[in-house]
Amino acid sequence: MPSRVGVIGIGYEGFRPVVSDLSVRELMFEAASKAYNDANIDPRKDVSSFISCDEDFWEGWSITDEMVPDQIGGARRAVSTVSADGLIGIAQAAMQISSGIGDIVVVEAHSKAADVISKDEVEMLSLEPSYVRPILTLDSLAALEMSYYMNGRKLDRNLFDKIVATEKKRGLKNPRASYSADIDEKDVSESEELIKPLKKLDKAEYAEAAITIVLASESYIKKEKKDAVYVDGVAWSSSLPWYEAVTNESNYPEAVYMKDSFKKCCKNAKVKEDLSSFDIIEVDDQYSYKLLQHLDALTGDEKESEEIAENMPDYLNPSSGSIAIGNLIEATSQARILEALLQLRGEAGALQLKRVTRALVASWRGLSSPTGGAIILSR
Amino acid sequence: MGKRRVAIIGAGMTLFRRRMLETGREMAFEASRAALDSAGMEIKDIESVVLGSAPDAFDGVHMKGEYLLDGAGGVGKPYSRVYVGGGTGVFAPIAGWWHVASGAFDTCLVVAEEKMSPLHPHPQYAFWSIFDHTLERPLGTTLLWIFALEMRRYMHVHNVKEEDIALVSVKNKRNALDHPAAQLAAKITVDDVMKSEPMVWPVKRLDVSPPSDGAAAVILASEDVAKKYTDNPIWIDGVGWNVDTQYWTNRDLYFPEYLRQAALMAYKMAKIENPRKQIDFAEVYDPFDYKELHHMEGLMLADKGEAPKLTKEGITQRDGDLPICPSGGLLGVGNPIAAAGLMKVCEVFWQLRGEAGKRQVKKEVNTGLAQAWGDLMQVGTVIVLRR
Repeated sequence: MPSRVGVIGIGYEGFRPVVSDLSVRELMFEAASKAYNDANIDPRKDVSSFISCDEDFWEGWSITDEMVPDQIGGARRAVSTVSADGLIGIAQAAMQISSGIGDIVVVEAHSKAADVISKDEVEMLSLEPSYVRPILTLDSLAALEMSYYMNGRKLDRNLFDKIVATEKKRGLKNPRASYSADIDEKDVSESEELIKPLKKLDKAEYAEAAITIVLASESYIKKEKKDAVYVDGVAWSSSLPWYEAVTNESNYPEAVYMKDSFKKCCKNAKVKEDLSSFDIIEVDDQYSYKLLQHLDALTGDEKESEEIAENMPDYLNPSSGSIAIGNLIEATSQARILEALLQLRGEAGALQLKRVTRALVASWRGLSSPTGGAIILSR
Repeated sequence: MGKRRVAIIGAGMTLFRRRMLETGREMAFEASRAALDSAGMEIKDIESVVLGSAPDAFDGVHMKGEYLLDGAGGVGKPYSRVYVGGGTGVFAPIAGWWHVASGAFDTCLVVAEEKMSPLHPHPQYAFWSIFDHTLERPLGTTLLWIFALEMRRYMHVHNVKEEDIALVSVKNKRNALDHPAAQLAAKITVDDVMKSEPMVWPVKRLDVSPPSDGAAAVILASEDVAKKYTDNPIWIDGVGWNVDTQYWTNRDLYFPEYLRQAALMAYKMAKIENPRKQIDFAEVYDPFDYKELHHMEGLMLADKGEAPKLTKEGITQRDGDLPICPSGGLLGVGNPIAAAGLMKVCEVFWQLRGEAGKRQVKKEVNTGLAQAWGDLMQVGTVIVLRR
């Protein structure tokens, strides 16, 4: 099994719908500088490898990895790109450290979504080009899945109105939640519909931020007496998209990727496969219905997940989730990991919950991806 | 050295062609299937999958890794796409290596796919947007322009003639005559290269590899698993990668320092102190003929300015003392970017197993190297394999 790794530094910048005063490079620089300061390391001497999580079309560059090294201190060093969300980048970093590549690996993820004028066209290009792209948009795909899921689960909209209203309101305490709002279920229920049953408020709006996480081997952490949050387990998995093939036996689309990831992650961490094993859980909610679908995968019990979503307890998405924080593209899971790390470090400010010693972050890469992951962090 | 030894136990590839009828998914499937067959495995035996592919613009598919997921065998598995531009083909097995060396997985299927042909009017258009949007794109810069600058700088510093460089193209295209997947194998002369269409001086048509479609794949396994499947595993003993600043105008282009750094990382891991003596042959990245020479020097297989001399003396021929690109390289086999790099890893695997057929180098080989290069002349990726 891989050796243990821990997080020794975190840095972030942005968390606004538009970061107008910083270019993408400057945004990355700010986050990376803060992370290195937090870890008290010199990136030019101490870091063995740098990983960036991004995709060409969001960046507006072909071969976008070429523009990564300079602003994160990685020029003429081992730098690479993982075309995936931050959680998968962290998994790669953990494996690099365990392989003996070095003691410290940095993972950077960012969103500069507002720079992209034609976001809907970029989104469309992620769809299979021959059969799917000509007939669907991402919104129609989400609406179809939501409808399929609601029918299969025999749900009405009320639960999703509640999820959205709770997270929007919870976000008022989070300085990183650009889309927080003092609204109630009725406001959501009466809000603009995109495509039935999907409402505009069901969907996380794009936001901008950069987040850098510094990981280190356990031996380094002990030797240097660093304050660390440990990665007890990390796993990720890909399934087929529900609209291309049914990969489950239910009469509604399931988040197979999350079920697989959670199972493997708990096994890695030697933790019971039960949400009660965690003090907080940050669960992907890029669409309101996805929160419930993901809870289904994590609990393996429809009734239990419905009850949790109905009550929206403090331990579920204490950050206020992507509904309030926003869609940070490949930094979306990294943002949720950041929130978990802040809770574990006791630095979550007004959001801070008591006695947080173990956290689960369950991620999804977003439409049209069938990839997700899970990470267990402890202190 | 990693915590666990990692072996390559299977390899496969598709044809490399200017335009393949198969979709990217189908090519990824074909290469994966060939690699699995070569290892005597089924997809159920694979625990993790790494995909390598270069710009999304070629296929016109955003999040191309997700699109290629089922063709590459990633469904129901931890699947990830890694990316360092043109260096991806050698970087993907490096990523596969850490999947297994770390102890996280016992097996990893590594697939590299590139379908350049969908981009109209020409695949080169994908490279227009690799330049800085503020400083370089307004100049209408192309890759050929900057490689011409690099080639010219290399020629100037070491007083190298175009004819000396053309020898690489002659050698590699001839070597490719023995490669069943080759796209541009040919028996040509230095005169043919010299008289070929000038593109951007000093780069001429026959100095350059072609745009291609294709895919390649290898199977990696931990020592225990490898020994269950084969008596002839090929070990990954060293890996290295390095990315230089994007601001290529601030570097002296005559020498690829980033590649030297990547090589030093790999050599340290493989305990190689004298690469010229300890490496028996190499698949050096050759999208342009001058790049083979440039990279030989970056890899310390030749002193600075010495590679043209070694080439002229026949040292780098298949029957020479240091065979370089016995496959036929990108100049002869073709250049579907990421797949081309992994093709080189496949070739080192086949050579070390003595399975390269007509391409088998004459001398006994125990240690081979594959290398790739990319981005804005800033990435070096290196892998050292041993029997």
